[in-house]
Amino acid sequence: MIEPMQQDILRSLAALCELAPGVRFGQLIANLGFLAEDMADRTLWDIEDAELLQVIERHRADLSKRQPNDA
Amino acid sequence: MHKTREEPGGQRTLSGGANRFLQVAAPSILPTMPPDFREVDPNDLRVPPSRSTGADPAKLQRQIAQFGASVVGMPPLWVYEAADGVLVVYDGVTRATRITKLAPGTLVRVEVIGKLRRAYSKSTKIGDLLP
Repeated sequence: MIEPMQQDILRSLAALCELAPGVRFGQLIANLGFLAEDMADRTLWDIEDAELLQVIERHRADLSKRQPNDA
Repeated sequence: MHKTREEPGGQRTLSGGANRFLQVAAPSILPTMPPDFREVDPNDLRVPPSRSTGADPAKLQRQIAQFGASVVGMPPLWVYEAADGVLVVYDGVTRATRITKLAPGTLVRVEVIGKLRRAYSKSTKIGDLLP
């Protein structure tokens, strides 16, 4: 049984992958760790699920603001 | 700032409304911004902590063999802009390293995809990590 918050995280990760198709999944996770430290002052190890979801959604919002096919 | 609540055990969670907004509405209603493209010297770009050792040597050699010093057709690097204005590479450490190594002074196109809260001017530059 996956907790609802973690289900939300997985869904958000999938949406993030769609916005960054050229980014390797490990690279995406590493970058999320970087953004988590910048935004929440926590490593991926320490960050609470709700905070991680906020980081992912913030990153998703950044990528969503891009014009499609810019890169 | 999104509302959070304290769960038993100390875990903080978003309130239901804020959570749903973040997941469903926010990405679709955020305005599409004009892209922020810049021409920069890749030597001065900062590497993210997860790539603090620089480009993967094998991948760099493959790119050098394939593209040499050319920037023709190279997709823009994705970068984040730090609070102090320096740019941190999100995607493109190998490309930035290749150009810095083989064509120093050549500008490359980057797209700024977001802002960072912290300053990163003291972080390692691409130019500090050339093999």
